[in-house]
Amino acid sequence: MKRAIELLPQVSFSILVALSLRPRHGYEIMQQVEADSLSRIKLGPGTLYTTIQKLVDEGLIKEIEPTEATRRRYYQLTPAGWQRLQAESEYYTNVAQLSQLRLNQNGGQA
Amino acid sequence: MSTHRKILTVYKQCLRLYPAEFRGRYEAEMLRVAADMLHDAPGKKDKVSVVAWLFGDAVWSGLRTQHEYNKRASATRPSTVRQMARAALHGVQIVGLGVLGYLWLNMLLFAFDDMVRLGATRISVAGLAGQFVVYAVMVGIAPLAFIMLRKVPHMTAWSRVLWAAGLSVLGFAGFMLFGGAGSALVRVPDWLVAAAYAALFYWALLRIRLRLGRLYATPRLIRNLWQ
Repeated sequence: MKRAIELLPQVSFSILVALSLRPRHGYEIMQQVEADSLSRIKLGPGTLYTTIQKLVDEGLIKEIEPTEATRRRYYQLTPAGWQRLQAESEYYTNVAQLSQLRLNQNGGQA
Repeated sequence: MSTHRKILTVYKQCLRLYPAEFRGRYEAEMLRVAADMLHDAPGKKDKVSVVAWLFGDAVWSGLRTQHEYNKRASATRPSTVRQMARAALHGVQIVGLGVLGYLWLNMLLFAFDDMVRLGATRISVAGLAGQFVVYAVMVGIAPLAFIMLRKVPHMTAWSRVLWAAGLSVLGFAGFMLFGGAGSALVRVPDWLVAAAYAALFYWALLRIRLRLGRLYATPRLIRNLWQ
């Protein structure tokens, strides 16, 4: 039997998804989250960095030291972050498939 | 000053709502993101909404973060009994150092009295620059050094006591030399000599604290670089 996972808050999950393509700095993460959510999720710097801090503390993402050229802090997924993203994606895929199936069965009737 | 810069200056003040630790880590990045957001907003209307968004987010998220940090701190805060014990120990250390300073002063004064009785000129005692000032300086040096050394990271309470005691000896020796030389060489009022010495000593104490801070912080710095 699979162990139950505690789902991440939506903003945290969206940040993990945004970082799954490549390492990004704060503003890029914000833009990617907004694009991925079709502008439904808009983050401010405060919300962004408090969530980043939580994810760093939980070991799901890590900071890449800024270089002379970039001067910005980039973040990337850790192996634990990848695992978590995969587990959550499987969960959401199952839920989406199930809900689609039930919608089709009932034909959208109440 | 451009409008963006003015907004960012006010925004920076707003970031004071966050705990210092968080600010130290993310403030520069948050300012960069805010600057990018302002830069990328095309029209005036968009800029206004970005500004409203920025400040609303800073206040809301700042208060929430502050609350979370306080919650975490209160969970790890030592018990009241332990806090009281620590405060009492601290009090004993400061009073002890004050008494130590007072005793050192008396011993040295006795030594000078003996010298005077043995026929030494009063010039050698002239550097003391008024008994009251000396008493104040001596009784104050050790606790003052102790209080200043509290800011040095990673220093245990007892190594602070030892350093403070050492500094008070140095401070007193310095006072004797400075005061003695000052009074002997230059005709200035004693209180001026004492004040000049106090300023010099305070400055030296600050420098020592900074050096010690670096010394005690180095292992941590190396550890951080290594990780």
